[in-house]
Amino acid sequence: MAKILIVDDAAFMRMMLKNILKTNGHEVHEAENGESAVEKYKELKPDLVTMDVVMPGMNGIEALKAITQLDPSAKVIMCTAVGQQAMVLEAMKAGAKGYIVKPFQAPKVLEEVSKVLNS
Amino acid sequence: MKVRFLLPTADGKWRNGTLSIDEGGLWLRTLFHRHWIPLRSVRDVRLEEKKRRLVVKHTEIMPPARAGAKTPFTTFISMDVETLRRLERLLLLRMGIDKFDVYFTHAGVGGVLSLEKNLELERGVLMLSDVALWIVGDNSVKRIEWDDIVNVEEKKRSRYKGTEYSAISIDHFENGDVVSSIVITESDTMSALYRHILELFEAYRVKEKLPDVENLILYMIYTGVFGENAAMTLGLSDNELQRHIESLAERGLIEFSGDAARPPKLTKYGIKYVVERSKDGTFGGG
Repeated sequence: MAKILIVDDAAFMRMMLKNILKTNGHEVHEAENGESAVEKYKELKPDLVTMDVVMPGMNGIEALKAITQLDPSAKVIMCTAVGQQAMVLEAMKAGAKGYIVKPFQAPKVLEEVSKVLNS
Repeated sequence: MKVRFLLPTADGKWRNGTLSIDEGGLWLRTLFHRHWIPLRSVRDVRLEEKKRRLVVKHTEIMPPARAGAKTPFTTFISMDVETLRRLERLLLLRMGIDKFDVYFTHAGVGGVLSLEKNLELERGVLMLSDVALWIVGDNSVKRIEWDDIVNVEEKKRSRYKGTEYSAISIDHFENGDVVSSIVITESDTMSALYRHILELFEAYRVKEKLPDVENLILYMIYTGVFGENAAMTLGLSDNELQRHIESLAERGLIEFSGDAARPPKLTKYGIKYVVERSKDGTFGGG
């Protein structure tokens, strides 16, 4: 079981990820934007973060950079939509450890989470 | 070479005979008859390896097809798989359809890693008909039906030895997953190719839009979190949820397995719908 911070501005997406991760025994926390994600990362020190790429204000890549600056060993998985893969490349260069393509399916999410947690 | 074939011309029976190809067409001969399919009329070639047959769709045949035969006509050719593979490649390269020289790779889900790592690119030909597209390499043939494509997108441009190249990603269904094939060519060619692909793909794009609550139901089913608590999660009564489920099934977006205890699953059209709506932010952001 891991402590996971879900970052997404869409409540529905957070609910979906939360459902998948909690059902599989993980402890889940939520943040609805980049700024809040950075604050919660400092406070909670999660084992893993799932980070939406496109968010108003501080976007996912900016939040990723801020988190990896705080903790270079942070494990962050980016969540992107089909057609936004170029942003994933930028995120991988900035230190993301994995990615999930929306629309996602539970087995794929769990596989990526497990892969990154065990890396 | 010796083959068995089923033509749209005669009585619907498989026949033994021989096959040959010349510049203009494909000849299928029996002891007493010969049939000719002009290569310019071939619209689709599909290898069904398990059935050891090649399915060829074409708009012309001599002698003419039997009355009532459906257009495009379908001819089945059966022989050993290795020879069928060679025949498939030969027919594809001679079909009267648009062909573009490309480099390609068949990437994984999302198509990201291949671009990042610049994995080995193969040299090949991209071919387009109104039924499907093919990516033909030295040792591989990949056929993707337009109906199986969920997204086509220009990815990035880069310069190599003074020439600008660009890439497009073709996201499509394969064994139940959405996977990507990446095609790379010179930017000048790519502009025309990309426009052409988008024109052909447009007819298969999902344009329907559903009410918000049905979008959420579909996404939950797709994601695999549609369970007993779905009605409560969505703020609906059981009856309201049931009505939406029935509506989605009537529209062909979901289907039921024989087991009543199992949740419904998305049809291919339903999956295409969810992917298409994911791109336009229906489910929130990126």
